[in-house]
Amino acid sequence: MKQIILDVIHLNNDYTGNGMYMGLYFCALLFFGFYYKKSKFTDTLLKPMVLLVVAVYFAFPVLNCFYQVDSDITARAFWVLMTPVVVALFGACFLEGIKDSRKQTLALLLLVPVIFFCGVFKFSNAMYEPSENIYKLPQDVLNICDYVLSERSSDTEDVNIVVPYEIAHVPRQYSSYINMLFGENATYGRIAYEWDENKVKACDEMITAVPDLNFVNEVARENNMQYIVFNSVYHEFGNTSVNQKGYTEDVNFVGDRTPNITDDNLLKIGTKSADDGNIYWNLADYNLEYVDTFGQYLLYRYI
Amino acid sequence: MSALSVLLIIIWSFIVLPIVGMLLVKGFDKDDFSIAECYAFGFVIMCIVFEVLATPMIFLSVPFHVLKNTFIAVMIILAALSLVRSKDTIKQIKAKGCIVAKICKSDTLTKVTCIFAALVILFQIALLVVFRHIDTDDARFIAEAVEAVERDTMLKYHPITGRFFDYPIGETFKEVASPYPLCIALLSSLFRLQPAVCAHSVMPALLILLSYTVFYLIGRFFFEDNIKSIGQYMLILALIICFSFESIYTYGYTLLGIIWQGRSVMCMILIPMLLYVFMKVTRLETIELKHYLLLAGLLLANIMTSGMGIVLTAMICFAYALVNGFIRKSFPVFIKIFSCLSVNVIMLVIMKWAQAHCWK
Repeated sequence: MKQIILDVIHLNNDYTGNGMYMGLYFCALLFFGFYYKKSKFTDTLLKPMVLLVVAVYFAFPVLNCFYQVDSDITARAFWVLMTPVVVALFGACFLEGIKDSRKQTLALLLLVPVIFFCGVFKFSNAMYEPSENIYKLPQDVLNICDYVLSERSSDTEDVNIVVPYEIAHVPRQYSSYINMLFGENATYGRIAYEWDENKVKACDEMITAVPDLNFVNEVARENNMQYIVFNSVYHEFGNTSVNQKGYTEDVNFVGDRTPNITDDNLLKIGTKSADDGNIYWNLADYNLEYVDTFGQYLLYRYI
Repeated sequence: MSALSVLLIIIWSFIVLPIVGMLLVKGFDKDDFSIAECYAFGFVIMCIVFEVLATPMIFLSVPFHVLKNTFIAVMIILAALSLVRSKDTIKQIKAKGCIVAKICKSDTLTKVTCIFAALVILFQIALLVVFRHIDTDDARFIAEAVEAVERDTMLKYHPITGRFFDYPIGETFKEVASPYPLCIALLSSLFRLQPAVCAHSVMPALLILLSYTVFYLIGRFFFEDNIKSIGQYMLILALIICFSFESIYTYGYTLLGIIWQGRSVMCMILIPMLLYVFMKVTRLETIELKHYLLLAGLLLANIMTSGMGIVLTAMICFAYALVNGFIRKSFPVFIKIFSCLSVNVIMLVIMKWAQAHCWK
């Protein structure tokens, strides 16, 4: 019983976070139950919603006692309650009861801060960035995709590429002819059906500041990878940054940046200057040929 | 985006969908319907047709272009049928007048409220059309759509890595019963756009509009011709959604973050639509066979967008079956509404079968 109560609390917290809209929702149900007793609202809205509230709050925690239900599903069960619609109906019915139009306007204006303080406002630069193209994907990564696709001998040929984890979600949204060593959510089992411990380890290496190139290259070659991309913001071979244009870290970036070095030579890698003035790490000892710099990303070809 | 794409978007979204929608609207309620209802029901029909065609075709490993051409043919036939059957429907809609005309005739407070509501909704549409919000789950959904468009295959490649398997793999077995990513592929083919462009730049505008259309229908159901209350309801609703970012599961994030994804379409369009139809059914004197079929169709449309639809729509269906049985004091009504859930059972069996026996 104690576990069920705890599950109910966790479930509520998973969904509501810091918000108070569920509080308003319960106020709305009380309003329709005890004050605004129109049969249309009672029969079509109140009664089913009360049943659904009971189902959402108690069905999954009880079910959890016998069968582990994914928390993503239980939190999304709140969708059946249609919180904004019920609260908005409550607001409109409440305003309808005020006959004087000035008082009604005032009440409507007062509702705005209530809505504001009960919710969370998240329109920020981190949430919405200016889009660089109509794909709404990072342009530098699309430029890399265009380059590797243009190097193919035919339009139906596949190209295999290793990219840093933080941009692994992009290439295959652009072209299905780009294959990857690991992709988005590589570490959470979405490649479970082709689970390869080495691929996951290679992914783990690529999210460190100094990836073990001997290991990454070995796995990449086993899987016929043709290109590898490094991120000048997060990768730093030979303690030398090649982030010449001062790209900044992504505020949403989550990853382990601990250098996990097993090869001392990685700490001694020097840099070179390309014809266009870009500085790049000289990775020739690791059989990697520098191709070009695309914004903050450096593209290398396996030779 | 080319002029041809814009024209195709207008034709498919604002001409074909409402015309096809008239078929259901006319069958559902002979007197009380609007252009908004036609538009919303058109989308429901599109989802049902797509689900009915896509699931068997995935099983049969049919090329994607066959699915696309069959879908186009079915929709054109339905549109033609609707035009033939619904000549007087258009006249009735014209006679009822549009909402804008009613707002113009109303008092100043109502006008101001409605204008503010429209501005908040337009702001939300502009937010997603102009700016970029990246969700990494697209690595799976959009990649599956890109595969269908570029390679003419359905769920044959691992969406995340691109490795060829010849069958759905990992989580993609869910897409057999809920092939929404292929619906993105279909729409992008119809609009002559790349799937990422279609999903990130075009679909948000269309889907947010559709979502508020369904919310408007719910408001109209409760407030009938009271434009003032409908306007206030829409304004409060739009403001709540602006501030509803308490967690990644809430309505603000779902509508203004990831509306192009299947689960968001289910949450913001098809679940409200299901509730709306249940509300209307609950107020009917007698529930006829066509209403049960419509409910079953809506359950199917929900499942098309997301596997979670199987559970969530079952909860709604059960609640309304109980309420209807109780209000009407009729056990057969409860059983009949409850039996609509056979759609969910069938789709669950298909999904589990795909997972357990067909593709290992």
